[in-house]
Order: sequence, then C-alpha cells, then structure tokens
Amino acid sequence: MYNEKILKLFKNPLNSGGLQGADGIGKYTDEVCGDCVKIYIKVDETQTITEARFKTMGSVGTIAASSAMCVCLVGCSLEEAIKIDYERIYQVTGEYPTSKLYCIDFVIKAVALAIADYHEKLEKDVKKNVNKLKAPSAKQTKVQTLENVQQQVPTSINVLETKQAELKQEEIEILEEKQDITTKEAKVKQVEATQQEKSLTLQERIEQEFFSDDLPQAKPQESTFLSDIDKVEFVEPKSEYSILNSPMFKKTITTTVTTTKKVDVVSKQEVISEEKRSSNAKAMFDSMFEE
Amino acid sequence: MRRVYLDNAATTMCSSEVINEMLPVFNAVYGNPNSLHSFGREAEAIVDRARDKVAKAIGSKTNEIYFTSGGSEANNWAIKGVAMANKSKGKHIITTKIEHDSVLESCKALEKEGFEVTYLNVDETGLVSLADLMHHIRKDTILISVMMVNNEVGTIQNIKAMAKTAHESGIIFHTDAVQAIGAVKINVEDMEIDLLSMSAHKIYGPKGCGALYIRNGIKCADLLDGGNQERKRRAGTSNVSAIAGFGKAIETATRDIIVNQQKIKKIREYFLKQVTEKIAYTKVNGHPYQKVQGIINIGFEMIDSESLLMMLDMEGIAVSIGSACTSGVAEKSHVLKAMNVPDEYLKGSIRLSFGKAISKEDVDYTIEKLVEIVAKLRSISPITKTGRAK
Repeated sequence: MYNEKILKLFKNPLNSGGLQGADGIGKYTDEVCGDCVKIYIKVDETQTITEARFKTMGSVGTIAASSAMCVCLVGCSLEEAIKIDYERIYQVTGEYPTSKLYCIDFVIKAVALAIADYHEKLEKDVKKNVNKLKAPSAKQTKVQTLENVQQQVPTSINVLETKQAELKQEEIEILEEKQDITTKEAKVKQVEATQQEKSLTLQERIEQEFFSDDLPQAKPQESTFLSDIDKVEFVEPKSEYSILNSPMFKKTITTTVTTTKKVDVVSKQEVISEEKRSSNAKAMFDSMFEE
Repeated sequence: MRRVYLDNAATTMCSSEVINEMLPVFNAVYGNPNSLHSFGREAEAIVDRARDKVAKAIGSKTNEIYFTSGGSEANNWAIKGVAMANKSKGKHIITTKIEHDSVLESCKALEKEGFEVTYLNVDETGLVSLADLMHHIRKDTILISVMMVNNEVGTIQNIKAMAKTAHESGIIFHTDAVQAIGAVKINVEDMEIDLLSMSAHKIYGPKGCGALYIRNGIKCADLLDGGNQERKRRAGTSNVSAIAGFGKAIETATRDIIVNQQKIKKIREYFLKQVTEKIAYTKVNGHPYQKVQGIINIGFEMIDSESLLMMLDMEGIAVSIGSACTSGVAEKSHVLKAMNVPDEYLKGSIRLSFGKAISKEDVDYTIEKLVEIVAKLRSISPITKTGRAK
C-alpha cells in the first residue's frame, strides 16, 4: 500500500520529539480515527520558521506525513507554511495512496493550529509589555518594602522554624490516620462481602437452585484449557434482563434443569400448548420420511 | 532476520500430512466425482472418505455434511437459506454484534429483503447473555446465529444452553464454528445444533474448502443451482484435492485438541507474563478463562495499532489488527467496539494467534522486539500519562 519512501520515513522519522522554548505548539486530534498530531515550531524575528518538530500517535501515513511536513516547514515564512499542500509533501515522500490522504490533512490542520498559537502568544507578550509601562514608579515602592523585610528577617526565621516543626507533626498525624482508614476500609469490605453472601433475595435463590447446573455464579478461576467443553462451567454474564422475567420462561419451563435436583419452587411438568404438540408431531413425521 | 508467523487465526500453513493426502488427486486420481466411469468413482471415494471424517469429527451423520468453498459460503448458505425457506413462519432473526463479517453482511442483505434482525450486545469480555437472548425471542423468530468462538478475542459462548433455548421455541440454531474446530470439542447431537459452519484453512488444511452441517429435517433453501453435486443442494464440481486435505486436517485437529491446547497454553502464559511485566499500560481484551488458548488480543496505550503492526512486520513478525478481511481499511475492530473497550486501548490493540508449530525462540524474539518497538513509538507519541490512573 505505501511506497518505499513513506516506509523509510516511518521507520526512522526525521525531526521527531518535542522542542523546549517553542514559539508555537499545535495539537490536532481526530475524533473519527483517533490519530493525534502535535507540531512544535520556532519562529525568528523575520517571521520565518527556524525549527520544527513533531510528536504523533497515528498510522504509518500520519507519522511519515508529520516528518515530511517538519522537513518542509524549516526555512518557510508563516504565509508559505499555511499554503503547504499535498504536492509539496509528495516531493519528500512520494505519492500517497488515495485512501490515506486524510493523514496529510491531519498534519496540515496541526500546522495551522501551531501558527495560530504563535500569533496568540505574540499578542499576549505585547499586552504584558504595555501593562508594565503603565504601572506607577515601582522602584520607590520596592525600596520601602526592602527596608521592612530586612527588619523582619530575624523574627521571621524563628517563625519559620516553629512552623516547620508543626508541619512535620501534622504530616505524621495524617499518615497515621491514613493507615487507620485503610485498615478500617478493609474490615468494612470484608463485613460487607460476608453480608452479601448471606442475604440473597428470593429471585436470586430461585435462579441459583434452578440453573445452578448449567449457569453457575461467576467464580474466580485459574485459567483452564477447554479441551472438553462438557466439563467447563460456563459463566452467565450480567444482563439488564433476567431469565425469570423473559416471556419465554413464563410459557414453558426450560429443560436445561437436571432431573436429579429437587425443585420446590416451580413444577417440573412441561406446559405445551396443543398447537405446539401437533406441530412437534408433524415435524417428527416429516423427518422420519425425509430420509 | 527471523520470520515469525503469529497470525494463525487468519490462516495456517498446510501440514505435511495434509499435503501428502492432497497430492495424488492432482495427477493420479484426477477424475470428476460425478462421472460414471472408474476414474470418477475413485475420486468420489476420496470425497466420501473425507465426508465420513468430517462427520465423525463433529458427531453428525455423513449425509448431513455438505462441502462448500469455505466458511463464508457456509455462513451465507445457512443464513440466507434458512431465512428464505422459513419466511412464511416469520421474518425475525437474532444474531450478535461480534459475528464474522460474512454473517453480518448476510443479515444486512436480508434486511433489505424485508427481514428484521436483532443484533445482541455483549459484555466487556465478549460473552453473550442467555437472558438477553431469551428476552429478544419473539413469535416470528426463525433463526438464531451465535458464533461458538470469536475470531478476534477467542471467547467461547455457551452454545449448548442457547441451542436448547432456541429449540424450546421451535427456532433453528446456527453456529459459526470456524475458529472452534481443533480448539473445542464439538458434538452436534449433544449441543443440539442445527447448522454449523466449518473451514479448512484454520486447522492446517488448504484454502478454498469448507463445509456446512445441516441437520436432517431442517428446512434450508439452496443457493447454487446446477448439477446434482452435494445431494443436489450445492452445484459445482467438488474441489476434490481441497476436500481430501480438509478431511485429513479435521481428523488430526480433533485428535490432537488436548495436546495442542496444552502446548499453546504454556506458551501463551509465558508470553503474557513477560509482556505485562516488561511493558506498562497494557490491557488483555477478552475473557480471562472462557477462551481458546491460541488467540491473544492485547491493547497498548498511547500508540496506534497500524504503526505497531508495520513496525513488527519490518522485523519479520506477522500479527493482525481488526480481522483479516477488513485489514485494508482504517476502521477499528467492530468486535472490540461492541465490547466497549476504552478508546485508548482500542486504538492500540493487536491480535496475536499462536499455532502448534511455535517455538520458544520465536516467542522470545517477539517479546524483545515488542518491547523495543512500543518504547520507540511511545517516545514520539504526544499523549502522556500525567495524572491518569492505570
């Protein structure tokens, strides 16, 4: 499906990893596919991209496209970067199969998000600088506070030491409490489990007695190998419906119950309507003469 | 570079016994089984012997086995045939969400013809609930189809109980046992199964041959019209060589169930222990013990399954994602979706299936490469685990 260049780029991708001090970071996660592409860019004063890296979780096509895109981005201006299309990427990777073009779309979106992030950060920086200039003479207030601090230093050191001692005591107390809580929780759980075992409602008791041979309660078993399917105890998974309330159960009684078990709750006789009896007989008659 | 094949759930190689059984058919016993002369009668004898072996393997009568071109054709025939023949009784079919594509697409085709299909949900381990099934049975239900062993996670369903439930309401029960043969003992009388699909190439037999078991007395329409092959129910000259191979393969597979499963169980437990110790944030999909030993479905967090598959392929290891039939498309596995596997593990799930010819060196090599590749892919992944519980 993929050509050799794509597979090479995938196996040893260029420009992978994060970038410390990145000027723009764009992360795109696709909802349908689940692929995630993160592009890091460094932009200099002339608005050209000097470095580009990627981190991708996705298929072969997405990783190769991210790598190719980072190669193409270096040296581009921001306007050129937004205009990078399939053909520019094909120069690095060769042609993509038509069913996998969506991989390149993800990367293009991530680049657009990275550039938008860069512009947002620029605006924030500008605003910060403007606010600094507007603030009153900070130097004067600084000098006053310094003198106050110098006076307070010796007393504050004592306060710190006492506070540290108090904190240590508190930590010890908290640890002890946690241990108590965990032991208590364990005890409570044990008690609850024993209680649950004892108190079964009537329905559950019926289900246990009636179906205990074929559908036992789930027991934690070691992994068994199932060569002899007759010997295995099958598990009945949880369901929003119950066997006793099913319309089927109300009409007939299932024949999965073994005859040796005593069933006090419901009688054992099968209740078959006349129509069914006659249709059963007809089916038997037909099968006898089919062969 | 070592080549390791861990995709035996997709297909298997033919064993040497099977090849020896098939070879004479190509140039020694090459007649058409329908011909009246001796060349034809010899070929017919081979087909009959294979039919006996298949019948014995599943505990049925010989005249209830019909050879087809594979498991997909058997599933199509069972579902469409039963639906067409019994549509006067009703038009409701029950199946599950984790069936093979051949069953699901057949049901979709029937929905266009006016049938109504209920797809049962499964729980997190892939089990179908008997209570669910009982709840959805209606007066106009004519067919229930539940696969015995799932091909992606290996979970085994309680077919005996479901078949009995179906029969109490007079409903026909079909099961897709393509993955179950050779892993689980099957007896159609004991389990009260009406129709059963089989395939040769999952049990060290040739591709291009399968069979459908139809109980005598069940009404099932025929799909292929023409000559009088397969007791006038499936036209087309029999694929004698593949049928011979199928007979031999199913005989050895059912004879060696215990031995194979024991061996694969040891390897499986060793593999899982090593992988879960060496790689963090993994999840094994499927049931912990009600499963066949050969299939493992593992999910790795923070990586994508297709890139993992291709990286393993570059190291010579063959695994699969989704199912083999749909591995060309970017869709995620419908079975894992139905089991509500969390998205982060669904994205990074691969299926490894061991065969009886696997060796410990192969497994060690696989584990070594898996650890390397998962670490490499996680290093270029943007998703981090800060503040998330395991």
